[in-house]
Amino acid sequence: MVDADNGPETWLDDHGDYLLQFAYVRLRNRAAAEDALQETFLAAMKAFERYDGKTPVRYWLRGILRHKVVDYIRKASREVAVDDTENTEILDSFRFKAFGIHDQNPPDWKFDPQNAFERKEFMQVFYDCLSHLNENMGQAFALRELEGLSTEEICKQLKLTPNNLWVILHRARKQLKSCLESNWTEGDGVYEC
Amino acid sequence: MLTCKQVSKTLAENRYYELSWSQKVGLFMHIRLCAVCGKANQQIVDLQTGIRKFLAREEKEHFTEVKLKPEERERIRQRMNDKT
Repeated sequence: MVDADNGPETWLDDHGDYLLQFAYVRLRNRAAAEDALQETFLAAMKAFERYDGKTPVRYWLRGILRHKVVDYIRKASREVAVDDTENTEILDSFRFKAFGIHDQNPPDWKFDPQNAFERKEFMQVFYDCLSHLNENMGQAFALRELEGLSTEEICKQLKLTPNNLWVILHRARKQLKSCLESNWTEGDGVYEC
Repeated sequence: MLTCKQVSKTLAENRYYELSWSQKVGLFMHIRLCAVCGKANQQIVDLQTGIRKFLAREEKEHFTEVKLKPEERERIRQRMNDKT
């Protein structure tokens, strides 16, 4: 529904910060997030005549931004080299072949995750750690765990084999876990035992 | 009865919280009882749970810890004006 309250001139002030953050946590690159946001607004201006007002304009814009984010990741992934030697080592390991895991006995969490997840402050740490995943891993991880794309789709977009994607996600989780552990201590929370 | 490989594959291809109730029960039982893959897969479930909470907060609160800098805002505004 086109009216004065949700026209393009209001988008930047009303939704700019929200959409920038949404893009930033998925792209982990400020300039890329700015580009995605700009492209979203430009595409939305073109398509605005077709906006039917059924969803709030913020979610409509966010829908377009999601596509821009995936586009950006797909383009960027062509420039990222995949470290195959280390991948092969993990993929050839007995545990991966037999059980689909790489490490039978990973270190315990250094905090109680269930408890921490309920804490508002923890979510800030979670956000920071997600934003700092390194580029190659972060892209695949964002598509899988934040956007919920299927592994098949991600393999197609990033030109990866399913096994390579598995290794990348495995590494991303490991990095995320260790980042959370270095930045969150039980003292920050209420958990005591 | 599920094998370790099936459990790992399911968690690689799905987010735990989006599985059906019956799939969740099967996975949960295996993870709790399995000495080989239980711990590794439990940690994947833990992280996915954290991500779910994060996404829920993102959805509900629309937090904006990252904000557009004035120069970024201006660049975007300029491009939008050029198109009108």
